[in-house]
Amino acid sequence: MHPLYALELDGSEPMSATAVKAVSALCDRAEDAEGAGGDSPVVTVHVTGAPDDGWAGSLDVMLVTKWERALRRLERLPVATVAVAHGDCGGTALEAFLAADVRVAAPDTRLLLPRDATATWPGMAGYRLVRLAGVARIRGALLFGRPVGAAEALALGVVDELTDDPAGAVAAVATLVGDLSGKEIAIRRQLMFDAATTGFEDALGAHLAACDRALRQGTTPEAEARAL
Amino acid sequence: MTTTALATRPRITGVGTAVTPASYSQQEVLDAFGITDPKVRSVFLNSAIERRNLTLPAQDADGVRTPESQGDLLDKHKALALEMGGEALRACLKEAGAELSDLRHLCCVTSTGLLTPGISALLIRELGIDRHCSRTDIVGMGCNAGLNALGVVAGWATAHPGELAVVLCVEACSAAYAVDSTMRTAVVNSLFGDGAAAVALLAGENHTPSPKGAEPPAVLKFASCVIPEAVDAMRYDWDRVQGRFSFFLDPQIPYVVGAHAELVVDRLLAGTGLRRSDIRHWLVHSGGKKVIDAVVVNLGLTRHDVRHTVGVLRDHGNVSSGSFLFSYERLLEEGVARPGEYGVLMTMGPGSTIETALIRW
Repeated sequence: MHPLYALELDGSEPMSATAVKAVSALCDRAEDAEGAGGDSPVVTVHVTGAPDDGWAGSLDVMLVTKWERALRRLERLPVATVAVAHGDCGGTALEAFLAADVRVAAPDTRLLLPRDATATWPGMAGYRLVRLAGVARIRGALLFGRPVGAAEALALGVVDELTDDPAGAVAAVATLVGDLSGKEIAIRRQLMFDAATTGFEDALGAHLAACDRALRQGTTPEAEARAL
Repeated sequence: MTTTALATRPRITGVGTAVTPASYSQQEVLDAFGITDPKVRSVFLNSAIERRNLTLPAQDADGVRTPESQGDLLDKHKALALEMGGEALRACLKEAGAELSDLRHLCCVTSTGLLTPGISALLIRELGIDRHCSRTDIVGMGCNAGLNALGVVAGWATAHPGELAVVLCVEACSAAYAVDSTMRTAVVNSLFGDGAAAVALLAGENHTPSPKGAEPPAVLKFASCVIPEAVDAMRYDWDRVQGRFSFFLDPQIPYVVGAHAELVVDRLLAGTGLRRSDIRHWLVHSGGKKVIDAVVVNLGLTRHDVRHTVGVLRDHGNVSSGSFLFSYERLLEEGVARPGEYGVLMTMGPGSTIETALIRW
């Protein structure tokens, strides 16, 4: 993958302004590439590492807010995203991993909910895990920090593919995405997110608007006038 | 934009809103007019509107709401406009830490009734505003007009640093009804509500920080887009059959607006160095459920981004030109806007048109 659209996150490092900046800069580059026309890049995030106990001691909630905001931006980018994990993944590594469109993992991967003296870390990784796997199947990991191994993560749908060849997996995603428009992927992704939380009647309007958008692709103003 | 350029831009130093006293649920409006047609009822009940402020005609001896003549409607518009307008203006000035006597320019916006002299002159008499206060009346531009007015008045404020200007949007939508059994009027009658909103602009260094302590946002830039192909898609014109003015909304209009939303927002942000994802606050006109959905999809917004737009529609319906200011007021009440954050104001209306403005806290 083009290094411009790739990022490595080390989950053993505590959440930091540097990590926020790195994710934001990646998003900047991806959005600028998408906005410039031509082929949309595929953004790749490589993650590994889990923090030690007590990692959250030096954080404040303003930094956490910025981190969650940066990740949300990554999750909604107008380009396809793929995350690659290996080894123990916790902290920022786990959180970024869960925000990607496609998640591949090496067989030695373990997903770890960070814990301090009193409980597991209550960040949005928990939310994303519930969305992906459901409450019943993720409860043990979320509440008590039980590690989720690679095979289990695959079975839960938290990991899409186990592989010894991450570069090959990323290349396969790039082929899958092909020349699809990143911006249109972002619209489909938003419809997908909303589908999980929105009733049919409330969702219908957005889907119809997206259908209309698709129908208009390539139409001229004259054709639009006739449509009125 | 350089710091010097920013310093000369007008800031929004206050906002205030007002509605008419009576609020009705959609079911209550259906009952009031004895509407039983299932198709019409469905339009009302699936509008994403819970309540609207309306001033309905009086009931006759049999409890029937008698249709009003065009003359009655014009009288109603004038009375409601002055009442709501005065209240919104006072609320706005209070928020801006200003008195009526500080007002140097008053720009009144309405599309729900034609009157001469205009609302600005009537309000100056009614409220005892200084007779030397300069005035503009923008009449008939529709739901988008609040931003057209803001653009012009931002220019006035920039040319008159230290002098307070107010844009006052006053829409007595209860004075713009036609009641018949057609789907055309059903859609319109299910949507609009009475409401007024005022916004104060002041350029120069001498602005008073708002009572909430936050620095008021500066108005940086405007961008417009008229869609001439859809000139007939939204109209408020004379209905010869009914002998009165009547609204028309083409069912395609939400999609036409949605399809042009990116074009105008990209133009607004061009040359600013801002990406669309840099915009933290979106204040979109509460035009109706379908047009909000279309804007959300085409701009890639979230439901959270349009929470105030949707909330204002739910609580007040479409109050036309002032709607986006109701949303702006709710955003301020939330207290989440931080210095350096950007917002986009966006209104849509006849023309068909999309108007936008970029602001920065």
